[in-house]
Amino acid sequence: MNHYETVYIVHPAIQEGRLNDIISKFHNKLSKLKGEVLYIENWGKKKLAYAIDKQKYGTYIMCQYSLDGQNVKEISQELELNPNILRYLISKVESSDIKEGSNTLEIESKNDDSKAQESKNDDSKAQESKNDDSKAQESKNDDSKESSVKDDNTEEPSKEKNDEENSSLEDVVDENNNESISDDEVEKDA
Amino acid sequence: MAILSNNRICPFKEDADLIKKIDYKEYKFLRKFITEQGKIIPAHVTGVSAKYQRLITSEIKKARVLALMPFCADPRYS
Repeated sequence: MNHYETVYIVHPAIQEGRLNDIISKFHNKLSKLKGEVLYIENWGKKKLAYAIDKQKYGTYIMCQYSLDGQNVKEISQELELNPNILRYLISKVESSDIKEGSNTLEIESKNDDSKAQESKNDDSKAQESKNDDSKAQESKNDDSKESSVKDDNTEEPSKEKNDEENSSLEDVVDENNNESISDDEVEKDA
Repeated sequence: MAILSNNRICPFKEDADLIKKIDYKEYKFLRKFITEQGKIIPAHVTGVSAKYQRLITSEIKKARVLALMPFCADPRYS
């Protein structure tokens, strides 16, 4: 049994759930070939030094394992035939070079929003387009709400001016803020 | 950029801990031994001894395969 180290680049569009599937598939193949995973590390999404398959980013996974030398070919074939793996490198390492740590990957729990996006991605394209339409409608509704809120704000300071002279300076500041927000909105619309 | 040294003392003979850093996973360290274009700087410029220059070149070439370092830096690539 020799010790090997493999770094492979997974397609950047693949999110946590499918990334786990790819990693577990690789581990299953290793266990079938009587290999043992000793260390695994997720380097995260990195920018590639040059484009591979027109992708400028990739998720790097590093894995150290022990395996018989005859079976390395099958492992490389497994990685080669997976279209979601952009590039891989298998190198032989000494047992002293094996890093100590967990041999199970701790996936960092990201925001809930990303998970929600994943579930949407899993759905069919038609549904996605529908979702997009609904999102567009939602955003329109939000815009209308914001504009109505702003109208309220603009009305309020005018009332306050009538009430007290001292607060007039603050109101001017508020009005300026409102103007700036409106400018931002114009930019968004443009 | 390059470690330009006139005295030409091998950095790995001065500091033995650096030898562990000759590894394609330490690509940030290996960047010292390539030019802005991505070329490997010859040992007679950096002063690295032949033993470690051989290791450096092989590790840089591994890092290039994994797109951790460029084969040839393209200024248009961003």
